[in-house]
Amino acid sequence: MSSIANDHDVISSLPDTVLCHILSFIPTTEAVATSVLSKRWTHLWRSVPSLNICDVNLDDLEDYCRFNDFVYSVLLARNNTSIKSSIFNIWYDDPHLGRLGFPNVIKWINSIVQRGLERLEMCVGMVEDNLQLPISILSCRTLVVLDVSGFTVKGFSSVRLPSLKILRVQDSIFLNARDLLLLLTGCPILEDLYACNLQSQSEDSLSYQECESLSLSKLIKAQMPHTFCHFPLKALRNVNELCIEINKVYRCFDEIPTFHNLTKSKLHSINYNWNLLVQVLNHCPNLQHIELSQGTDYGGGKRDNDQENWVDPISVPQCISLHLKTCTLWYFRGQQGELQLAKYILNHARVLQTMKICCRDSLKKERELSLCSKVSPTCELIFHVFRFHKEESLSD
Amino acid sequence: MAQEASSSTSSKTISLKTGDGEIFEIEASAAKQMKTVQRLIDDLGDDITIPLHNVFSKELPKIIEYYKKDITGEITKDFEAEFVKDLNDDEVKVLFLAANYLDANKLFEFLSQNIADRLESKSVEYVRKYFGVENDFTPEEESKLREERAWSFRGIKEDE
Repeated sequence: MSSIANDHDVISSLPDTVLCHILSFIPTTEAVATSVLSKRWTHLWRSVPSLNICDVNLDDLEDYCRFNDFVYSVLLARNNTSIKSSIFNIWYDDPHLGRLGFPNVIKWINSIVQRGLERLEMCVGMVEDNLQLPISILSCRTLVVLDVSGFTVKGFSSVRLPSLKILRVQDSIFLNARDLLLLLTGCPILEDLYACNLQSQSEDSLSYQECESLSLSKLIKAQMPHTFCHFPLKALRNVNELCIEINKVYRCFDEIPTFHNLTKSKLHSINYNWNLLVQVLNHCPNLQHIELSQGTDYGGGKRDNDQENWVDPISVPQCISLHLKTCTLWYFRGQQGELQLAKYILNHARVLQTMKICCRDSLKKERELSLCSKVSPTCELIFHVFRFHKEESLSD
Repeated sequence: MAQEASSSTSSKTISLKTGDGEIFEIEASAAKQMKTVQRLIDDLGDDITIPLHNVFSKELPKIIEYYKKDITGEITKDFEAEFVKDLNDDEVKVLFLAANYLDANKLFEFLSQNIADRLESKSVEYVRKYFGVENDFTPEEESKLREERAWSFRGIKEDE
């Protein structure tokens, strides 16, 4: 008895729930299309526990009307199976259509967040302006994963996301730093945060009370690249992994907590603030992998501190002498302070395996660093040179 | 044969016998991830070769490979991509049916997503063949349904 002969019998005897489960991963348009497969399938799509509006690009009125019609029909024709996961990926190529259409999106979102939604991915935009994130999302008690991008996030006064474990917010605008904090305060069991390229319309700093108010005790991973508004490091103290624009989010006299669990860290936008860098390193006793950059790219980074020289710290930070295994210096320009930092690490990191230096043009400094003494016998020094569109790696 | 009470050690292996008579060994901790197998172990004991009538020697090694990685916590997106890379649509379907039969949740979830990815934008006839569905519509009934759901068919390939 070969397995293939049994195949068709077994597949067609799969229960509806299994077939609906597979259908929950595809765009809803295709799930609805399965209604023509056979009579058994005619109504199966009504029980699919997802609403996936994918890759919709609207630039004319007729399309827009048919699309609107489709989504309302689906929502009305569905049975009571709750919608566990949803994707909204819509682009309005005409601001008029966007203003006309988005209130409908808000209605659709409002209806599904009330009924057991666990995963939501939303990227809805239009030309000329950001749309505003529907705030009913921010009090969805069942939501576990939220992934939004391209919105303006405002007009909310409280956030209640008691089940949220994973939060991804990208390319979005907040009114001020306080609103970002308010969003996170409503996520008490958050484990994974990705907050990329968030802009704040106001330059205001947070008050001391506001900084103290946020505690993300379950947070394991925090990645906040290209987010420059004031943010309390103290809230992130339990993380294992951190990526942050350190000299931008830190304000004078903020508390730097001890990051006991931190083993992997990317510190960008150091802006030659060596004092801050050393302080942070002193608070990361178990750090094993580190990536550092002064700015965020190879362009002429604005230096907030006028080329302060590196001064060797009084005592070697524990992470450097005991734990540091890999170190990468990004956007390396060969400035005096950067060279001294690189040498300091090579001289003191006893278990360092790899020091990688990424620079734009081949520097004469390669030789200087290659000759510098390395305390770790297994340390490999690698230069990663970006030459316009070509990359080369030169190993020591 | 009298069953001896065996002390369970972490390196205990379980013998599985496929529908076509071949025997494979898996770790007891991997067997725990397959609820059907675990239920059979609970009923029959862990010293007996567990019979799996609906799983065959072609697919069981692949399933064992997956759970070997799972118990060491090594399942990554790269591993999963590599795992299905060389499988054709039918092979994935067979694995999926086996995962369903074995009640192996993690593999089941992963393969559900993979099948969904493979079926996306495929023609109606292709999907019918894949699920072994008999078309019991008349041509008139089918074209009426297609017209009603016109928006749904925009992104779907035409049948050959």
